[in-house]
Amino acid sequence: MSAPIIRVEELTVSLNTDDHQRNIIDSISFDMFPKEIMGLVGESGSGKTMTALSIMQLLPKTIKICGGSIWYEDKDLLKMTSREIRTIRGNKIAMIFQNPRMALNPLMRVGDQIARAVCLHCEVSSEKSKSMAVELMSQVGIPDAESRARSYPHQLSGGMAQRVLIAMMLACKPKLLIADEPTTGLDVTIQAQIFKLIKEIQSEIGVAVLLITHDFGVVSEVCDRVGVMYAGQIMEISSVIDVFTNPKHPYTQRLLKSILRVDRKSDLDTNKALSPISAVFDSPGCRFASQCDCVRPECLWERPKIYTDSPGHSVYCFNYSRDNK
Amino acid sequence: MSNFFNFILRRFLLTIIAVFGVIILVFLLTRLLPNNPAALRAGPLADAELIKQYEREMGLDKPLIVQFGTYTGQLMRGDLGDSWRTSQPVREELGIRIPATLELALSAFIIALFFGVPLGIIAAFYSDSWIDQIVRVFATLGASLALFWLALVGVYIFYYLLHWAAAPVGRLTIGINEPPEITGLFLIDSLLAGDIETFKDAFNHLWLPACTLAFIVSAPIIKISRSSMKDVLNADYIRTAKAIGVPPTKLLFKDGLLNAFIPILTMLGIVFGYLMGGNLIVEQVFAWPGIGQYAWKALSTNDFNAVQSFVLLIAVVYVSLNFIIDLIYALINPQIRLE
Repeated sequence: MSAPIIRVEELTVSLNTDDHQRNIIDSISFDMFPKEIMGLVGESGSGKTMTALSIMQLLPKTIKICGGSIWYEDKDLLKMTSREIRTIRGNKIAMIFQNPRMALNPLMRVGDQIARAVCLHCEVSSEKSKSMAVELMSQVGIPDAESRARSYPHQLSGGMAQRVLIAMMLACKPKLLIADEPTTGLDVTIQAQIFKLIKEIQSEIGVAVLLITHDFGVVSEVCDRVGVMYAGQIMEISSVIDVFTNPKHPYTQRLLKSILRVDRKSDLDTNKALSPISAVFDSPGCRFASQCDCVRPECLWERPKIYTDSPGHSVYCFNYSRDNK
Repeated sequence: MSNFFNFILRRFLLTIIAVFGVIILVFLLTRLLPNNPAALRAGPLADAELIKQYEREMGLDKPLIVQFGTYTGQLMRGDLGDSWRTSQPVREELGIRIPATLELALSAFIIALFFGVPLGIIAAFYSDSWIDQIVRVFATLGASLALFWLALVGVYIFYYLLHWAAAPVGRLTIGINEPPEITGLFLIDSLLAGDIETFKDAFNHLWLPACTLAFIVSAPIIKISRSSMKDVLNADYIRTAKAIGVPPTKLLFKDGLLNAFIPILTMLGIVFGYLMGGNLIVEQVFAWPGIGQYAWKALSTNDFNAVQSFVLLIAVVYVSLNFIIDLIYALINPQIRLE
């Protein structure tokens, strides 16, 4: 495998309230390789979006990165000045969001918004940037792009708006596109179209995609690799095939069991409900320990070391790391 | 674009209807005042016969509907009637006083605008920092201090102690001639006439009352700027703009301010209307010969025509402000303009 384009190393992110500091991301590490689509799955509050916002350095004010590094081309994004990071954002690393209609400035024509992204990072005249905007719009499958470029966001459907955002983020041919639940709030048929578009673009311009979702169906269709997160920790990283056929981590197994399938009797009755995720954030060990069926004593006070099952399949669980020592 | 003109036309017609409604309301309300103006005019020693005669002269013996007809007829010709107190045409009396109030209101408005909006924006950008705290204290003071007290303290400090401001007795020192009237605003007229002496004197008289008013009215402007900017800065499209690498100044003043401007604009309209119609106290303290003082005297003497005209004037100011604000809304926001 070639060198990773993004290397997240022991990233720790904390939420500071008046009397309490809580690590909402607890020392996670993963690599992303060029041209791959990696999924990041987990339930709400597991830290998927915060991981993405850390890479973009767009975290809300109350949330701070307090450890680790994020390497992009031998440079640590976390050590960059805000001026330097702006040359990366939208240029090398771009991000699309949920609720696309809200993510566009309501007072600007969509064509101008795309042209602005072009102007910010490429040395082109404003005339040229406008025609490039129209080109980008037809590239992401917007019919009649020329006249659509003059529309305002409120005149677009959600699917169209997401296409506009994708066009905006592709303006400078980024190396990494982060897609944070890009189809939340869209119709099911539109969802499929957007994922198809993301796959097309990925193969066309060779951008790596970090796809944040809670939908294993989407993961199986779109992604090459997947990382499973729970309560701010990564539980397992593997290829998509492995995660479905050979899930190692007890949490991954539980998560997969919760998927309803027509060809299988529902496991919902036997699947214990998970306790609210916020209760486990202060644990020094594996945060899934208190819910885990195969819990060991050390799980409660020690972080499991990484266990590599096969190349590209890593699990953070004592059940494997101790057995195989 | 035809949508836009439709919008303007519709708003304009609504404005006309609103003005007409105001005329009816003002007419009826002044008739509800408890005193008989004919009796007041005739004086305390007059007999019933004289009062009757005055009532006939003033048209008060006719039915209300006839009085209203006469009144609107006069209005159409631009005739606001005569003041019963001074026997002068109300139109002329107001005409002399409007520029004084306008100059004061405009100055206070501009000061409040250029202090209040940026302060609010900065407070929102650095929200919960010490800058924000100071701005909030400033706004709270503006909202809670009494105008008359602030005006008196201002006069005491800046006129009596420091001599930075001129004596609070009108727009110019006695002995200095008014500049030739072009706009009626002394600052502008004196500059147009090249008369620096008069300009300085007018400025010395104007800045203290203007700043006093500005301090009070900047409070709501700061508050609304701060809160609407805070909302906008949390909006998804600001995050998108950050995600494509838009620098912070552009983010704040292009993406942010334009979107935050609609609620701010509404407040600016209210503030300007208030400054035109509500600065009676400041006019009183600074002996400013504006319409506020005139209205007060008219009201205390049951001078129907003068009161009616004042209320009508202020109502027209408000209604036109709303019309202008609607137009600016539509220019800023395509959702209003295109639907």
